[in-house]
Amino acid sequence: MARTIIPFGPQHPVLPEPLHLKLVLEDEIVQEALPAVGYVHRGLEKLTEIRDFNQMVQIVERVCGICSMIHAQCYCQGLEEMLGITAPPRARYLRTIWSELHRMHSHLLWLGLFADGMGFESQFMQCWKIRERIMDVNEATTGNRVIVSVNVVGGVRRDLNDGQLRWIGSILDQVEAELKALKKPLIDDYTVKKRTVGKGVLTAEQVYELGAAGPTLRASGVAQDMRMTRYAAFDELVFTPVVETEGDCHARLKVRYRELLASIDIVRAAMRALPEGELAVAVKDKPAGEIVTRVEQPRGELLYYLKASGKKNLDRVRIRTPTFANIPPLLAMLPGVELADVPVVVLSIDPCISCTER
Amino acid sequence: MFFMTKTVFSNLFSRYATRLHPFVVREPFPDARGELYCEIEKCIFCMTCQRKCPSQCITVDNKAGTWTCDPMACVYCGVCVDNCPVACLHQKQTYRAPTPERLMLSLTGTPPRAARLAKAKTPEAAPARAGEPKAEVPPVKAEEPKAEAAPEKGEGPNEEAASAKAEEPKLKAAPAAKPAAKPAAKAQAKPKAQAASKPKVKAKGGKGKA
Amino acid sequence: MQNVTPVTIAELKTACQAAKAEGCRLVTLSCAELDAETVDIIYHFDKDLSLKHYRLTAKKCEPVPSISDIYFAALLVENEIQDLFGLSFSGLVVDYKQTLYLEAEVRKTPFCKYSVAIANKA
Repeated sequence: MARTIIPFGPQHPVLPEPLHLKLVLEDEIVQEALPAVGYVHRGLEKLTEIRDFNQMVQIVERVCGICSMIHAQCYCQGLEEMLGITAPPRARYLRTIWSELHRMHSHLLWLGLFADGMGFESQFMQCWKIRERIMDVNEATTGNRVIVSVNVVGGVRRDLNDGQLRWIGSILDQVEAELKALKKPLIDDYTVKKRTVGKGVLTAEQVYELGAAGPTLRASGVAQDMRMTRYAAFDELVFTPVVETEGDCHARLKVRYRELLASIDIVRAAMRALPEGELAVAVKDKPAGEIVTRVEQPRGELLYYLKASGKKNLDRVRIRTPTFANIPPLLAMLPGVELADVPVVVLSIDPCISCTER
Repeated sequence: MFFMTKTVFSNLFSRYATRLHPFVVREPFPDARGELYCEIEKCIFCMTCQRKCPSQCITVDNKAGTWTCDPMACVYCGVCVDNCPVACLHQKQTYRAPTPERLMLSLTGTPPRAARLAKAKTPEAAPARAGEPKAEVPPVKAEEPKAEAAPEKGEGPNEEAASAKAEEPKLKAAPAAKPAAKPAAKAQAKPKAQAASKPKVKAKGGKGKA
Repeated sequence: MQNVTPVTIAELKTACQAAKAEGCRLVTLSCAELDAETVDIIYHFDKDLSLKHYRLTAKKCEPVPSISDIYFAALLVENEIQDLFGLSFSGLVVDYKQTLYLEAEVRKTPFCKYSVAIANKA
């Protein structure tokens, strides 16, 4: 019964980003975990002192490479509320379409990484192959692959024409077919279940108390999704959160997989209902006041606290990213887990460390 | 991983999912945001791009008439392109090719004030010749990748012409720019008027002759 | 921003305990500098998708009681505020002593020029 401290990360084969965990082990079992972050802190919140509120749109996009669109959407929504303007309906629908496409490519990226974390290389390739179709949609419709830069305070910068909508529809059909083919080898597979079922279990009470967000929360049976707050086009679209109840890694896998299919439906519904009209409203005033806005990122609830006093620069931009909220639950998941399962459990919260540290 | 076998075999006997990249290059999407370039003869040096750029990679000097962009700081967001009042900024569809050296894109044109002064001095200036006064001065020599990276049909020729003329070092360019500024005055005035309405097509026609 | 209740340092812990008893989830803490001496710390709570906020106006030189013993989730964000604003939280479950983001030898915090935590560290 020797106690050992094993450093996990910051450079670890399964970690896409530098997260450092000090694991206190007794034999092979983790007793305690202590995180150390700070490897990719960039001080983006501080930049608001030298960049004006319009330039900040492009800066907050760079908080996270995977869900850039959703960061900008959240920021713009907050500023619009502060300025007392509303984005035109078409802009809100377009934001929804692009943000759901972002969710899909983020979840596919994660599915791939998770499979890779278990050593399931061919599944990793398969997921990323599907993801590439969505990246193509992003590039063709917004101009950029990852950091799409379509949001502007007051609306969006790009439009989708009928041809593009039809093309996106056909891509979604392909993606859906490929995803359905993925279900058996990814979700129902014996080996995958062996690696994930019963690993890193958190009950609904625990996960709620620890302030978890997104799929981590919903996999334990708490039906909380910021899209239920009806931002953007969700006030008109039908939306039901995806919930699983087991609270283990397999449940988190299932939540993300089912969310992918749900996102396809949301994009389709939004494209069908896409209203005509303006893309953006003009912004004349300077923002003043305090605002808290929340949207649902692929990893969970994203919160922006914005404070302004009628100047060109905002006084404070405070970003609470979902991974930041998911680290305390991760620390609660790890005790009792075998060392060999630590990568799977760590990946199951979909850690995005650049987000966390900003 | 038993269920995967079917997929593995179908992948084994189907075409590659990837391209053999340097040899097979996908057509760029028409709306893709790529490398930034400036039609300097249309530029009015209003400094909007410098103010709007989120990464502050553009520096405009409206006295000296220089437009400088640090392509390595550019984040391809296209905000400057959207905000340019005379639509002289454009983005190619492809990214800048990687380069081992730091490069700066520096263009010299005639700011409207200087142009007006010059016009007042010589009312009937020499026949308009667009593109005369510009001189691209890379502090570090790195011209080759630019010439390569202009594969698209639309805006390519402009940019190539710009770089082709740019073999003058900066110190020389500065005194040389003075006499050159006069004939350019006319040139500046004309495309600018057109620029507001339908910039790209017209300007290109003019450029072809030059 | 609606639903903001001002709290004092003395009331803070009881208010948070009450929020927890009500079944609120701690979303996060936000900190913003007001002037040379004070900062605003806003505690965001979520219950059934509606937010409520407690606003604590704290002096930079006074330590703020940590709520990480009530809400474990406050641990990281309180350490973050220590790093970025140089405030000091008393009773943190795990105190990184301003090394969560910053290096140990750093003497300046990004958002505030001077504070007691920095003075202690030096």
